[in-house]
Amino acid sequence: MLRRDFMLKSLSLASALPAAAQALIRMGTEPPLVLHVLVDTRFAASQHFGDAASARGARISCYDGDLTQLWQRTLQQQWRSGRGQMAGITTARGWLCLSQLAGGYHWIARARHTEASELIAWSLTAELRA
Amino acid sequence: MKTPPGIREADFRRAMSEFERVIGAEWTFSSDADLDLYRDAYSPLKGQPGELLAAAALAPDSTEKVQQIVRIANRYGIPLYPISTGRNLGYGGAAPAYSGSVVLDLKRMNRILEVNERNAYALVEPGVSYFDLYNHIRERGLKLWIDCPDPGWGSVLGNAIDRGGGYTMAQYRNHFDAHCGMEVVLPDGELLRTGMGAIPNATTWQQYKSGCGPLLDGIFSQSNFGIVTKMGFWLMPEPEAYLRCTISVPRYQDLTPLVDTLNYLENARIVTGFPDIATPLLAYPPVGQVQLWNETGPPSLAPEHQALLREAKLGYSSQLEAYGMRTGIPYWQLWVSYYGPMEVIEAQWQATQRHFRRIEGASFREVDRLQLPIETDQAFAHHEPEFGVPSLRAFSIGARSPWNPTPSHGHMWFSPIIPRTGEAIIEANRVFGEAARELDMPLFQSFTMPACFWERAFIFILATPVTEDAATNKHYLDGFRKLIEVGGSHGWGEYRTAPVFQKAVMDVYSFNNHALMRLHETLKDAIDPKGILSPGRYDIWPKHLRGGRR
Repeated sequence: MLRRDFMLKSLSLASALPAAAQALIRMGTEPPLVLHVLVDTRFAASQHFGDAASARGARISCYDGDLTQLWQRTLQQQWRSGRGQMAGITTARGWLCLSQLAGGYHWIARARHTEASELIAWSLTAELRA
Repeated sequence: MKTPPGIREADFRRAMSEFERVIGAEWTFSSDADLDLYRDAYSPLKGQPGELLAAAALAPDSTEKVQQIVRIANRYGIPLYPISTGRNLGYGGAAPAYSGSVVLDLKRMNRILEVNERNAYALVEPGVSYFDLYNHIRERGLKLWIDCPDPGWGSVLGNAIDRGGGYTMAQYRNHFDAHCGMEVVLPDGELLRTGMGAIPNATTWQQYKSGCGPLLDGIFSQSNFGIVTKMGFWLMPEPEAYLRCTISVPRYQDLTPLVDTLNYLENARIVTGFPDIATPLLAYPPVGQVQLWNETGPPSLAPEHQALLREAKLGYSSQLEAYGMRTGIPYWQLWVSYYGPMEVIEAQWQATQRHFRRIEGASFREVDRLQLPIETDQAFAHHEPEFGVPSLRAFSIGARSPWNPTPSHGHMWFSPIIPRTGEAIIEANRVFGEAARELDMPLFQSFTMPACFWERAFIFILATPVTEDAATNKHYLDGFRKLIEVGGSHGWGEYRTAPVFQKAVMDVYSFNNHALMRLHETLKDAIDPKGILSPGRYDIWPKHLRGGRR
């Protein structure tokens, strides 16, 4: 079995979201990691971030605040696989939910408050090392 | 490397090496990044010297490995703190009760060992979440429902041994009472099965709870006498139909007969679903509507209504009552629901109305009438846990809303049990309201309603906020402990609490000079003489950490 090692990626998403998105996309091109951006459709900042990431080829999943279906249909399987990286912008409560669930798979969470609002810019990372 | 208190680093390193040999290095965690995952996200002491932290974490995937770990821990005196999934936010999360313990993370033990449709039960390991069990049942098309809390992200077993509750029928929504049979690793590594499971090759382990002789299951809940590695649960047969209705009554004094009548109807199994009492006139929603209020905000009130609410004492003024009667806004509104064949539940609803008509001015409304099953998506148009559907919807609240103007950084649940009477609701509001105002605590500042998770008692479940300010958190911690004491002086106690409050809560259960706790300690000394399992959980400390109190 592969040994799991979980790498910290400290990402400052507090400013210049497109630049942050570019940085994330660059990381996403490094196989076998694939960047996946979650868009909380209730918030323009989250959608803008998703648009910027999408333009650079990131995979986008949308939700309206309730993560249940996304968890059931996508995230649970993806996180079980133990690889990938993910980013987005959401509320503190939404982030709490995501980070706790990801922690269950020892994905490493990083978050920053955005400057413009009470929203949280976040990233989740896991890597596999042989 | 962090080490448990009183353990030499060299011994701890040796113990960790032995743990690694059992479970593999990849499931032995000691880095800060990994241990961060075992902090309580809602800790009021986050970053403070008193924060409860793990020294390491181990994630075995089988009962046999748990046994081996326990034997190693016994040899070195290493304190272990087992968790199922650690999702009990507001009640302590994954953080140990004794700082420096090694968290025994059982999430990888996530096998659903059996789901039996004919006899409506399941046997699961600690890492099985409500989502896992729900998905397993749906994928196989079994005609069974689970009963889940809200949110439904936690462990079925963990929630039950923490004595959590849900939202369907009374016999299922008390999760500990709905269990049938346990497998337990004792502190010396011995393996025990309770109930009929004590018979080799038992055929009724999940069908008959008590077996023969003393019934021990209770001592493995909210305790530190063993690690539950398998647990059976009775499941609800998928009902044919669902009916939800309201009973509204106009006067303040109607609360007492409203509750008494509900008690009769639920204890007689005429009302079969989760009862939910709201007060539209006092602008307090039923539990099942709180999520909606979080999402969209509460209904707006007329200025006259708002002014009258400000003047009401203990939820009452004659002017407010008159206003309610004039405008048709009920003082109290009971939400009831029914599961079963439509012809049965229609008859139950008729009988319900007949009983409540004894209250002058009672009015009745049918809210939802559904033929079951419904699709998962349809359940979200209602309060999905009442349909046995787990969700994460509780986290969908926006950054701010009119109902939640100042989102906090977490909360500590204050959850006293009170008698299931109308008088007790008012008395608890008086007692806790006065104390909370005196202590400057943000609870009971307006009239507050309890919930009906259990069929014979009410429970208040109120969130004390956790902030980013240490001084404010300290103020709330002190106030919380004082409220526990105030409740105790009136004969009320918490049903469950976070480790930081477990001493205060257990001190309330003090009949005959703490006879209950003294027995807990006698058991602890006999079953776990080295005190390796969850020291301090629910204030049960091993002798060497007890300090001669009591």
